[in-house]
Amino acid sequence: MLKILLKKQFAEFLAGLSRNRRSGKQRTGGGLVLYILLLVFIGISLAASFTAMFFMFAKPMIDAGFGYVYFAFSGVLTAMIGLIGGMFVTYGVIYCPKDNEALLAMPIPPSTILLARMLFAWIQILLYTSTSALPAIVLAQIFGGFSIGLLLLQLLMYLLMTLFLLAISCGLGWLLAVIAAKTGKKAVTVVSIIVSLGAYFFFYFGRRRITEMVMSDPAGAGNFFKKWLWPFYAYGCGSMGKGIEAALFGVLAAALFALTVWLLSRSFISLITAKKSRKAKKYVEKTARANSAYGALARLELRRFLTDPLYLMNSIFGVIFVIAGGVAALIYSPSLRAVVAAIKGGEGFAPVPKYNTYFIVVVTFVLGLVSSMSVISSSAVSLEGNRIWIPLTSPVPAKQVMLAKLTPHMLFSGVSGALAALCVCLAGGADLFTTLLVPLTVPAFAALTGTFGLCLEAHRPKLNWIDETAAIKNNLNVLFTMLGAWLLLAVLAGVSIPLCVFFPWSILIVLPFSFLLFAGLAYLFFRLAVNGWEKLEA
Amino acid sequence: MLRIEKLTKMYGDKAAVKELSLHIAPGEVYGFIGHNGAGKTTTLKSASGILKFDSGDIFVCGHSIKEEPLECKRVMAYIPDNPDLYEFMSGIKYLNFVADVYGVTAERRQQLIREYGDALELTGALAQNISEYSHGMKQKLAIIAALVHEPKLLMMDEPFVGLDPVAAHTVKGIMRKLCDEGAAIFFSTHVLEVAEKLCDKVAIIKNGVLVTSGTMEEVKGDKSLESVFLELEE
Repeated sequence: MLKILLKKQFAEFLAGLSRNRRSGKQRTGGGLVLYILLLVFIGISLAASFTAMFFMFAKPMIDAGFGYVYFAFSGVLTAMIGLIGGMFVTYGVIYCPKDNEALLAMPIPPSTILLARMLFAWIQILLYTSTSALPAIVLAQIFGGFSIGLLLLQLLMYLLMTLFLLAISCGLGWLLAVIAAKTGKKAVTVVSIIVSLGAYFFFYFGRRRITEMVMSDPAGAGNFFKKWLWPFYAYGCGSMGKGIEAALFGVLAAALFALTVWLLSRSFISLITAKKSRKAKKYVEKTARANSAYGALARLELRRFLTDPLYLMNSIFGVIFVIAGGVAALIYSPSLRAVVAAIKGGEGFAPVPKYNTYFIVVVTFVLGLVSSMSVISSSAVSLEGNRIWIPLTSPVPAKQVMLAKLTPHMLFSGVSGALAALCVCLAGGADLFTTLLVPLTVPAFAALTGTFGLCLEAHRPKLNWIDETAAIKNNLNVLFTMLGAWLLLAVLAGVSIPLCVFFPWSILIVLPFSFLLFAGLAYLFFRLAVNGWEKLEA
Repeated sequence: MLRIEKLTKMYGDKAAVKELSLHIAPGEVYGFIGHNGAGKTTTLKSASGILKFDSGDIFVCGHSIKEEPLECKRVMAYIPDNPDLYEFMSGIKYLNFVADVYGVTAERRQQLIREYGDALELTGALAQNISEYSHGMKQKLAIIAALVHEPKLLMMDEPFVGLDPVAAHTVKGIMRKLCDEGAAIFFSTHVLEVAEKLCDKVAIIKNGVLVTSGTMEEVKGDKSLESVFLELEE
């Protein structure tokens, strides 16, 4: 039964990638291959960054007999990746699929449904965490001397670590489901944002502290792990071949997993069939107010974005980081001015030929890069799902529908980008030219990412989803939009930064050119999106 | 009001609807019956602008759905077989959303929401989120949303599924009243007794091909609609 359920889960996942929505036929595999290639590319990029980090530690630590600290440290990083992604994956995959009730009506034990969902979440956690755990193991094998026995043990320890993380993620996912059942999805949204931001900053600063400790005092770090983060200490020792710790960690992971399955199965039915426990609101007629069709559609898109925890969580961090960057620039204005002065030998940044102006390009592109993490529009059509008939039968021009779907993206990514750019320019003492152009170029880039995502969505939406993670997290359009945006920035940076380094006056061309390019491409993609929507059918 | 001319819709190599032609005049309740997968929903979706079709044309009040889709959509309403609505909205917000999209004035929408909400006994639940609605309540809301902009042509796919007997009776009354006032209704159903009692005209479709159509008397003669349908299906 478990095998059947897993097969169904994978079939669902693959169908969205490999099935032609119009003809219902299997594609030639192009979409699937592309998706896998993109995942591999992202995985390799992440793995490369971890490899670079572990490269500094692996040899000196293993040579000095602190291999267990090295593995404990890698375990902490693996846990960070696994838990941040895992918590929302488990909530979405276990508690949110539309077919939960249909499956419950079949002669399948609820614990088997739960286990199938958990195993699917486990595979996703395996994928996330492999980017940090596997490079650590490979480097340990290279610098510690190859040993097949130790390699197998290290792989086993890694699998146990993912089981350990799955159990904790499921626990956190269960907590979100309880909150949703008691107070509704809005509370989940708020809790999710607070917890994620808290976890991000805790891990960010915690990682820095642990990294410094591991580098400067490995013995002290070993004691710290043993005292405060024992599971990671046991993971580290086990990975270096210490049998007792390996066994203890195995028992801990297995016990935690079993306990989680038991606890979750007890509340599984009640949570997935729960109706929000609140009194039914009584309708009191109020004077109606008419609005424009665009206004109605835009408000609908905003409500959808703000009330869907998964949608909001997937897109809001870029906005928060951009705003945080702008506020930080204002707070640390003197330091920023000092940095600018050091770079170009004067006060404030200005596009004057004798100065080094690449700094302005870097600031503009970094803000654009961070804001492109918020690709709100890349799920906007897919999220219609079975409700696509509503906008398709409405007498609203395609242009207005697309504009409404772009509105949340521009309101959040565009406005935050413009404000942050303005803050940075004011804080850095920029001249008028820069203060005008940078706050225009950053939202123009946000418009470009927004319309590009929308264009992909209008031409190839993912409408037949059972679990909305398919429309948000596992949506090829989101990946394409982010990678496309980054690629364009990389190409532009590769040309314009050296240009500004060697010919500082070229900023006078680079900045207006970037603005016009982004705005022009945004217009082009918007037209293509409108075209796609006009041809869309369901 | 609705003229379907030689409509053909293919799904890959398979023709879901082949050269189908129908004409629905103002004031007519037109029933559309056929076995599962006969092409009823495909026809309704094509006529409402959700599906693009391969050949033929569909005219609503003289406007081609291919050439002037917005003009067609302004005067018609579509209710799908499964009322998937925006569950993050309350019933009243959804109705106001639809009224805004169709440009219904504040006064008129208030009047119509009250009238149809009371008739279908949904007014009290309009403040609740749609996610809290039962299937029947969602169906009632979808019907009110379709009526709130006073369409000239109403297309309904299995409109009575999920409705309790009282609501089904009320909907039938509303359908009749709308047609008496000059609107046209084109709906699919599997409930032949309903079609027989309610429809002025009926069309039977089999494997994407129109088998017969006309007034109820022309189609069934002295027999019951059920026996005619079963004979045609053999």
